[in-house]
Amino acid sequence: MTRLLFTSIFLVIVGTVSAQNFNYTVNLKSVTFSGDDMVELRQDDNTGFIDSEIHWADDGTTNPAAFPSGSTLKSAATLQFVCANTPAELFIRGFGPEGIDFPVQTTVAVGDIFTYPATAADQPFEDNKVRYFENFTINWEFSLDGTTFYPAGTSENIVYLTLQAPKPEGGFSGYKYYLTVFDIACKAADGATTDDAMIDLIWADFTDHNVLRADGVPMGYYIELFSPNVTLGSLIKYADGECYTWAQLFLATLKINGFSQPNNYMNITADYSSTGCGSISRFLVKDWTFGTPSYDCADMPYVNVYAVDYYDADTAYFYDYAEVNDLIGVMGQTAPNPASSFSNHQIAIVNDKYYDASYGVLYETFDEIKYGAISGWSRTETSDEVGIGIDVNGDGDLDASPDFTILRATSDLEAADFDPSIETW
Amino acid sequence: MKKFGLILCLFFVLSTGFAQGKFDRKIIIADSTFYAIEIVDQIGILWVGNIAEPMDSAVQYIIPAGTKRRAINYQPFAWDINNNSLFAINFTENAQNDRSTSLKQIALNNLEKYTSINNPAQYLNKAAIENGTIENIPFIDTYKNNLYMDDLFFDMVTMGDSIYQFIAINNNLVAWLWDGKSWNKSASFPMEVKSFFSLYVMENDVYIMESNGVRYIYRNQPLVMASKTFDMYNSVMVINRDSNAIQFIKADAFVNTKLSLTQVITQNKIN
Repeated sequence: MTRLLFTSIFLVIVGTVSAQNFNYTVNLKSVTFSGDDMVELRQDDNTGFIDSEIHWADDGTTNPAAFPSGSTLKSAATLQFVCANTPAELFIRGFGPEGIDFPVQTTVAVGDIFTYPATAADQPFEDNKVRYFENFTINWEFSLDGTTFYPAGTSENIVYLTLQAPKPEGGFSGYKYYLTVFDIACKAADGATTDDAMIDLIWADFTDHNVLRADGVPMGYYIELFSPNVTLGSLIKYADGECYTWAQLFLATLKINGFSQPNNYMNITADYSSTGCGSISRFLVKDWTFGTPSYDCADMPYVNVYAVDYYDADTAYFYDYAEVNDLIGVMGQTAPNPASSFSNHQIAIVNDKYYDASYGVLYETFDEIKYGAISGWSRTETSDEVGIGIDVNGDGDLDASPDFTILRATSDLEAADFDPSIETW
Repeated sequence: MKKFGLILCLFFVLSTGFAQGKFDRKIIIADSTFYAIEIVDQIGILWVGNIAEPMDSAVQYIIPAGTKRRAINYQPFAWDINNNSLFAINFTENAQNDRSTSLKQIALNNLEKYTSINNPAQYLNKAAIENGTIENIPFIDTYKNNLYMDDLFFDMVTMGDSIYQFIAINNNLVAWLWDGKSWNKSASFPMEVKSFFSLYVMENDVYIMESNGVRYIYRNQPLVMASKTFDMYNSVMVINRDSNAIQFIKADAFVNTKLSLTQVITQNKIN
């Protein structure tokens, strides 16, 4: 955003002894925020920290700032005062939003620059309240005599206020103070004054399948069918990721608001129930159609044969032979038909509820997941045409080679259960 | 059941205190060749080089296995070299990962060289589906019988045709033995385990090394041995099969890989 603020003021000052006319040009050059509790924000591409030395500058620079609610913002500013006779001192003050003002300070000239020192606002931010200021506007004023003030310019930048102090970054969890995490955490929960309200408002942002990175780019769940992204940082950097990343993103937005619970990260797998076809180790997320089964194996009667380039698929699974087929079913984040054949899945647990951020679906009980989310169970194994009794290549006979990977499946949801394991994130 | 008064007071380190060394857990020396594994984006990069030559001259291979770098506790990569194969437990994070195929046996001569054009992340699917012929019953059993996994730690070693996999979870240690045909599970040994441990084999015995340096010999049960304590978090174990010796060197000793491993050991050995 380019914003050039240039204030030109023509002042006529009438002295008591003699009258003089002066032309003054006042230019607000820069504004810098600080404060004991100010959070250092990370770039979304994890290349470093966002500049915290300048939060607004007349060259168009703006940088966001983040604080816990209840903390006190300090602001410094520089003004250029151009005239034939620069005054020795200048009085400067600022008026921010919602009564957050910066008291008058007497400043002295260094050349034609006057520096308003880092000064605490006259009141702290409201305590225990999430806020998102898309434009934290401060109207700066100056005075030659400390009595009569004139506009000096306006600074604007984004300010995030978290409900409580953010939980510290976890060096080994991947939880970091990425800009996007603050953006979601505070924009979605703007106005929340309790943990419950904050959680509900943030979760609502995940339910519309349009979670945006701070720069406005929608982030997806398996936009790439075999996305390799499994960390919070990679989801934000590439705007696409596996279930791991979405569970982490949701939990991260709560941690940014100072909320965290142990045992909040659940890994779900099939429970390896034994069948006459081997143990069940995978599952198919809705929707899959089950066609005519070949009954190569009675307990898991459906068979698909993976194409050699199965893992090169971008948007749809490649099978050389298929008795079960993927359909559009449960929508994922920014993806109407995300990947849906898995060995495991990750969700968040908050206050004993199960938040599946990948799909924006909330489950009140663990058992709801099985019946709400999946079409069937499956397993993979190596076989050949002889092994499954199917002429996959259509050459009129059953070949003992080459080997290929097959998916065995059943639509009987009672054939297995989910096996959960829980970690702390 | 006799309760063993065995308390592995493993060195507890906060989540931010994990080792920052280049190589995970250990370096193996055999026939004057060293094997070391670096983790890049979860995926293992195997270095194979002559111990007397600059480490930079080692050939690097990308392996379809690795370990995650996200947990409340540090869990280094569990791997071993035996019979021209790399054995490993794939502990990466990927929705295609199947616990039953997480134990990998990978022929060394099938590995691809690692170059700048290899994207380790693209090997996550290979790590999920390839080389898992020995069903990892220990993992399936452990996860089936435990819900809370923050305190999961494990390592594996090979000895002849056998594979030993030791798993500690929620203050119990279980030793699993693959005898070439099936898995045998030991009793559960109560112990306090709050951080990783490592296994090594010496003269047909399996040893457990805690992260504070205290070691045990495993003879149907862990038996504590006289030990020097030190911080294994900041160390790498060097298993020298040529000299039947175990040494430890500083984990940050590999800043200058123009040195040979022999020089690095000489300059940085801990004990």
